[in-house]
Amino acid sequence: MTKAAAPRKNHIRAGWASFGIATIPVEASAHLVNTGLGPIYDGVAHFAMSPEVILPIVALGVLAGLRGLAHARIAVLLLPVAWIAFGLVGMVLGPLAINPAYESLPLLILGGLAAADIRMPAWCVALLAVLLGAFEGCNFGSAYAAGRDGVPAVIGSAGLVFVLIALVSAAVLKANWDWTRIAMRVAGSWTAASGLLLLGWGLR
Amino acid sequence: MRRAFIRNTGLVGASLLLSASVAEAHVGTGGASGFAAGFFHPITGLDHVVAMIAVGLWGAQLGKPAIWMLPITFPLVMAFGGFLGLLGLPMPGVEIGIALSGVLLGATVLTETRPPLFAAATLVGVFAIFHGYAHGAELPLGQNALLFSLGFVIATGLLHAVGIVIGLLYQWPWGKITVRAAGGAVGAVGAFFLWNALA
Repeated sequence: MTKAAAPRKNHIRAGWASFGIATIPVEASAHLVNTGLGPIYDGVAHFAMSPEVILPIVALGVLAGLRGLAHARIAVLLLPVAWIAFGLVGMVLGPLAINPAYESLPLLILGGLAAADIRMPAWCVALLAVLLGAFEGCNFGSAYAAGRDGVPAVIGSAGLVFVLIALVSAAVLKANWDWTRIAMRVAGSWTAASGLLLLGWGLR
Repeated sequence: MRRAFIRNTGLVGASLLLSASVAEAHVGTGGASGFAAGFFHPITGLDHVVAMIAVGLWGAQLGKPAIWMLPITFPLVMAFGGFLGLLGLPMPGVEIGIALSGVLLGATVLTETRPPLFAAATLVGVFAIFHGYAHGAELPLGQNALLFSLGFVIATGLLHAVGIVIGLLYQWPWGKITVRAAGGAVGAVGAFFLWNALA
């Protein structure tokens, strides 16, 4: 090898090495939260940082609490179960590209029903709880389709779903004064209004 | 030898600086600014502020069930107007409608007008569409849609609450004068904006 060829070969090697380093794949963490405390807490934190999921659950809690104890009990029982079941389905289905217009529907429906204070049998609230758990749980689970620790994350988030729906519906059940019930209906109205604006954003 | 080592080290260092980093798409950045932008949107326009307060004042003046019916009606219908604005559907005379809302709502409080509940809710609802449309057409791109909407609706509701709290003074004789005077002030501000809209 001549003296002139050696640096040229070094340049080529360095170029290949640089290209190799530049293309090292790094794990993408889109839509996921990494607390460093393990997958269960990752799921809890992910849920806690998702207002678009928290708000419909609060609206369901308000609706169930306004309707009475039997309605609240069934919502508290069914929502986390549907969340876990459809969260696992979502993990199997893989990433879903859901338009924000669809995310606005639970806000519109549940907020509107709470604002109107419509009387309904307990099975209607049960159906709404299952539908909400199916939609949001499936969406949540699909975000973990590529992750290795999806199941603990879904179970962790379901724990917080249970706590949230139980606290909200219990607080509304204890709201015995006229003005507190009206305040709950106003909260429902604001939720539905936010959902309507979100629908406009989605269709824009 | 030494020069080659330095050159190779520099190349590797530069490559590491240019290597792919962790993708963090949609991890919730900008949420707080989206809420703040939505919250301040209604309260930074005086024509909107006086009309929202007037709705609360009128509701308090009319008593139950208007005191809560009007503030529940207004955000929902306003959101419908915002929905139309977001879709870009044409609506002529929006600024005139907003200014008229201040004039008429202020006048109803000033003159203690007591129409049937349905008529009051309809009047408030019609004006709410103009206010919502104006906001919807002006909503900035790139914000967190839900948090912006939430901040926007909460600010509107709190402005109604301010009007209701002032309107609670209505139960005292001196409070009646205060509430009516507040209605007159709202009407005057509305007239100023109407003059500007027509000019």
